[in-house]
Amino acid sequence: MTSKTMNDWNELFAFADDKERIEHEADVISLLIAQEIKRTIKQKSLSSKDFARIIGTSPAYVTQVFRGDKKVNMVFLAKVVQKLGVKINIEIKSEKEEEPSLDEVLDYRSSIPPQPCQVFDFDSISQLQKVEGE
Amino acid sequence: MGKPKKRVDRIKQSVNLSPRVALRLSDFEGAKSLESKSGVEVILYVDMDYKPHLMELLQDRLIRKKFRRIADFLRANNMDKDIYGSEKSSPKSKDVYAMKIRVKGNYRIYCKEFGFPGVRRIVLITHRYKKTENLNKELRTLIDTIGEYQYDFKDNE
Repeated sequence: MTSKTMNDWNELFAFADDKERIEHEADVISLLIAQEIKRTIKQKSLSSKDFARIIGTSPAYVTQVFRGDKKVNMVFLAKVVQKLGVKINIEIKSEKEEEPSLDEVLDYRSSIPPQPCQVFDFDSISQLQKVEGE
Repeated sequence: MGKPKKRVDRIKQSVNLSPRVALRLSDFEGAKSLESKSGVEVILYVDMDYKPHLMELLQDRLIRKKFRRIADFLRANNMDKDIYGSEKSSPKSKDVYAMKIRVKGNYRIYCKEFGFPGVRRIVLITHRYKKTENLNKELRTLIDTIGEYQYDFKDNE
């Protein structure tokens, strides 16, 4: 236990510095990847033990990764791809959807093919108006 | 003389039927990679009586780090049985769950869940050091007792 006692939640959960913040983010990303791997091995009806054997690593390491006690590394991920015959899709998106620029809007407008003009029968319209008026 | 009639209103002494107080945990900065896709709001509370006990455990940096990660996943309504799972041992404990903190040993923070439409309230109650994977009699009793807890939810301390 640390010598300083913290009694307030805010104090307890404030990141000490940016390093701690980044480390937490990395732990979460790793656990999210581990969840995807777990989903994949479940789909393939494999146990964690079988999975460990297939990718040539120890069951203890797999357990630690799945619990988030160890971070997923690239070699582990490469083994998953190679040995399980799966693909990885990576998507990095902005936190907020950015507004399109004016040029993007104009480009989009010009990409829409011109629509054929609709021909109105003015005689029928005026007849209809007459009926509605009565 | 016949057999004395059994009292039907007998209440087990160990069960306190008055609601306990659950204090809402103030929001803490979480990971940006986590987002709730379910639309369910998860709110974390702590049992007021056990708060000092829990605080004591969370003074440890490594335990706090693991706790924060689990709490972050819960707030995003992302449930993962490797870090948080049901502790149901009888019908009484059907809503009892535990945060699994395998840091410096094998700790469990026992929680009770209350589901409302669109909202999931999780009350952090007490913790134990778990020596074995099996539930011993003491733990089973604790979990069953927690399973009967009812709460008044308070948003501010």
